[in-house]
Amino acid sequence: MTARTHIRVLLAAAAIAAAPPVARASEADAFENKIVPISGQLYGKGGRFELEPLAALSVDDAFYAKYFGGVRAGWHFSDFWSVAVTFQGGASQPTSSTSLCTASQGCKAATPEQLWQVPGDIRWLGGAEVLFSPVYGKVNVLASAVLHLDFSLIAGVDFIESQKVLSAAQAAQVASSGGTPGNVGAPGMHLGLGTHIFFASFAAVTLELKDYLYFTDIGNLNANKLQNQIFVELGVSFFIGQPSR
Amino acid sequence: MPSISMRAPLRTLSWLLVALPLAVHAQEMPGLDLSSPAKDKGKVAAPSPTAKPAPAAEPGTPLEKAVGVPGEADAALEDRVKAVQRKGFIKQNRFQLTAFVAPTVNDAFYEKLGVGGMLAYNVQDSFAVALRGAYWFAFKSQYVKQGAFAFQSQLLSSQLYGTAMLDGIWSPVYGKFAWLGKSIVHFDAYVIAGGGLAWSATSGAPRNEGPHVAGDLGAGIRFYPNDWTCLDLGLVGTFYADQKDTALPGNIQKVVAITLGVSFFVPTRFEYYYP
Repeated sequence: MTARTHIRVLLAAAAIAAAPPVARASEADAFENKIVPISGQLYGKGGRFELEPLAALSVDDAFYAKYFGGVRAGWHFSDFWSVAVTFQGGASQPTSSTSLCTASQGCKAATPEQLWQVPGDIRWLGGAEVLFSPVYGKVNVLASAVLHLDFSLIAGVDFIESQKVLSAAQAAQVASSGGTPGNVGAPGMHLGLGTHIFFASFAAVTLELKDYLYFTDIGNLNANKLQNQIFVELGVSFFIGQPSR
Repeated sequence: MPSISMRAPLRTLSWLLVALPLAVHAQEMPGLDLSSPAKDKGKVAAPSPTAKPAPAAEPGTPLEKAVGVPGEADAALEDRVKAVQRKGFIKQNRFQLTAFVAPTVNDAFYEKLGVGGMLAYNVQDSFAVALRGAYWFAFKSQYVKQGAFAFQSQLLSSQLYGTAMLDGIWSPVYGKFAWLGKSIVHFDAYVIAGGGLAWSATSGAPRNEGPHVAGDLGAGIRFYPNDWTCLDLGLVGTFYADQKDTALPGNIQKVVAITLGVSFFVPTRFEYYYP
């Protein structure tokens, strides 16, 4: 190869190197850089009302399990941000942890007088919350059905009404008079995670996990203690109005 | 001394004229590239069966050239190109090393925190066998004291120390998420089940019962931010038989925990295969 050829090759190589890089699919994905894989949210929420009847079940309960029904109404500012108000209430029952067992007599349920001394018997709660939904996705199930869903982070403030927690002496006094402990309300807050699984442009299944935090007086300890109550909420959301986009 | 004639720069310029338009043309090529990458060592880089070709259309804008003419609704156009075209992450024939923490969610009195690891081999892209082990710490909550006051009794609890399980992991669901409508993250969902051994306070002295037979069952979701790692979020229940006190009958202990883990894959790269 002559010096002239060397110079030509170098000049040509420099010219090619200076040219703009060629867009090229990688070996891993022939479609890489060609199209955006998710081109848009098929089910838009921005500018729409959301109305949701829901059922809620408490988990990780120490003394009382709760079975609530409720409703939530929300407004979506965009596909990513929304606010909502919610109310729920219902029934509760003592957990199996309140059974008292002895070696000679077996196990028996705790008396009402004993149950009045422990926290967690929430009667109803209502609140307002902000939802941030940064994640929208599509799921391929068994290479056939495609589900559309989003995920949300939830934070809110609440008012929580629960049965008053008595001391042993107060419980004995109320029991002897044939009364009940009564209820007490407290401000609270909640944090949670949620998902919408869309099955139509106007409807979705909503599943949420929320941790409610509030303070209540514990009679036997003569102290105000932080309570921690986890709820799983399942509902059907109906979207009203046309998406803003 | 070599000299350069006038023909040499002209020849170089002609190369430039050929090279630059080719490069620019390749960069501005719109729409889908439906050509298959070259086959190499058994690797096949063709679209998955779920990928559907764009419908026949009369092209207008570049978007229409790519995805076809819009229908009645813009949303339908946006969704014309199926988002789930092929798996973005391949696990087959790769080892997976995972570190996780697992706080329990079903014991309000003695909350536990598991710290452990998992070594898995992905036999198929959707199935793996795994060895999982964890050490469990227990924390007494305020409810123990409140219950003791109210019920004038003692709360017995099985003290779990460790678990070692052989599991199967099946991941039939995969997909993609958009973060704020922009970044794309691949993920899959899985179920996990298996059996093994659990060590509790009754395994050692003074009762010396040894490890208890255990089983586990759970489900989770894994996010794949790059080719060699994933973030794991799951809910796994571990079940074993234990007798808390010799005066009481034994029963099945249930430890349900949220698992938060990070996994590393070996080899760190993958090549696309037909499922």
